Amino acid sequence: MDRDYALLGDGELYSLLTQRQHRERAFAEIYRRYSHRVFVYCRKILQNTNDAEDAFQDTFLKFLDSASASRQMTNLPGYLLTIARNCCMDILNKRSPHVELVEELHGASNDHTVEQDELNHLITMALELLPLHWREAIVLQLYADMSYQDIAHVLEVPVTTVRNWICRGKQRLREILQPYFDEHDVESPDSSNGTVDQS
Amino acid sequence: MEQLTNRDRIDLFLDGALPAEERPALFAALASSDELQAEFYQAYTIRIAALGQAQHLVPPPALTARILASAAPPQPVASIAKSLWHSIAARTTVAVVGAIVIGFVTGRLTAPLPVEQHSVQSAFRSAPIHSSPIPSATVAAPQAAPRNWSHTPSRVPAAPVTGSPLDTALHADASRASPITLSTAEQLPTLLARHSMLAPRAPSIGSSPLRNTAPLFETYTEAEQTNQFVFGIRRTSTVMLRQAQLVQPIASTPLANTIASIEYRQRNVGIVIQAGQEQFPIFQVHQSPTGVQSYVLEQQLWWIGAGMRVYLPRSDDNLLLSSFRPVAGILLGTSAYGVLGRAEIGIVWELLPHVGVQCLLEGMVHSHGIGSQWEHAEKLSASIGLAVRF
Repeated sequence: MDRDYALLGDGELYSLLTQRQHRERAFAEIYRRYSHRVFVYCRKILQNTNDAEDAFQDTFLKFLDSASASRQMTNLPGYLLTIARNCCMDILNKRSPHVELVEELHGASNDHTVEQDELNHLITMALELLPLHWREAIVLQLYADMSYQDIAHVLEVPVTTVRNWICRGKQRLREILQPYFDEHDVESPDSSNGTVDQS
Repeated sequence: MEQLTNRDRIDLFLDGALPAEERPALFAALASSDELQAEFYQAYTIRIAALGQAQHLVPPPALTARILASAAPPQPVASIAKSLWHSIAARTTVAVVGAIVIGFVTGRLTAPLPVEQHSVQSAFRSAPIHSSPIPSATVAAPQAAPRNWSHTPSRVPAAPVTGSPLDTALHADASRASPITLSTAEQLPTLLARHSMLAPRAPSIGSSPLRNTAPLFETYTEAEQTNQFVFGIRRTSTVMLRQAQLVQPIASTPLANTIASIEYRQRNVGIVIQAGQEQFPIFQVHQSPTGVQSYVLEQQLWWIGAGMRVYLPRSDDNLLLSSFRPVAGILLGTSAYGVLGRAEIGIVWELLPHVGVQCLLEGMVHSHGIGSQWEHAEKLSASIGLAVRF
């Protein structure tokens, strides 16, 4: 029975949420599939661990409460991220302009090098400098690994708009991070023996 | 479709969104431009860093447990009649009233009485007073009357100055002679004895009238014992709980949210052992044989702990506040799931000789292992209960 839930599609799992005997297991499977994506989005948008965890928890509680047998679920991750986005916006709107943003980059992983941590920290800070809609699109694409179509669904804008936001945002990121690249001589694949997977 | 720049093509290519017909143009541009190659590698570096960081951003196990537990089917709620009886207010009220009655009776039977009152009452017990309408001339045992009391059978002394009718009883007690017989108009001692708490205290034999300045009300003044045991039981209700939204209503039991304590107090410091059962969200991870994890919300926390309390000395100067004793305490303990620390501050109202009411504000921090991490949960609660002193 455990594997049955893992083999079910998103729509079937969602419909099982309204059935008392399947609700817990179906919810656990949905959580297993999409919790990481939602959590990363909350963390990168809110840049604060406590706020992100609150938004993350609210997202799934609201999702659970809103489960309805009459709703036809076609894009479950998009639906979840839409709820997460609303939760994050609520927190951002309530947030004091002087709130201290604490991003716990250190300690997240012990196998990070100092340079990787520094770059991650700089990227996080650079994201803060972007307009919110650019940042949202980049976070969903870069961290949550969502397609342009799914991002457009979550942000409720055309796909071309998403593409523009992401391209403009990433170019702006590179401009902000240019001093880091200059300092670390990150200019060409030859300098670091890196290979680019073009597949 | 709008015209793409080479920078756009780099980002779209790394995102897997560059149309196949655009790829040759990108590759040609990269081959001819070192600047574009550097930009390509910078974009690639950012992407790899972001993906690496995203892999390590996972929700904490405790948060996962809390969320998954919220989907668990709620436990059955008690019936309306049962929940009414088991409601905190009803049970607390019954417990408080019952204990006050018991404590009052116990206190009256066992507490030491003030010396003068004790003498008066024993005097009247030992000297029977006949209130039958006998003529005043038949007053018996005149030798029992105090010498300074001018016995006037037909007149009630309105304001005894040098001796009250109570003195008669005192002397009767002293001599244990023949019974005193008073006229109808002289039944005041009986009335005074009945209302002895309101009567002016009779001066002891040989004392000066000027010293007869007893307070109007004879309040109970218990000599503070240096060593005593205090047994307490109190009901607690949550004031603040971080994950209160996840706590579901549960079937109430008589012991739910109840804390019992036993304390050995020496003057103002006590050593206390407490045990309690409180509704408190604890999340446990269970793993099935197939490796699937399930999260279970445990809502009843049994715990036991030991610690100490410090009382402020009782203020005997202020009649109103003398029975209130501020108290503070700390406690360390354990539950079935982890360890806990508690701190409490409040007031003990020692309203009866052996019974007091405890009103405490308590904070608790509970730490338990979940998965490979420790989860900390905090709770602030208020409690009220009874403390019986031995």
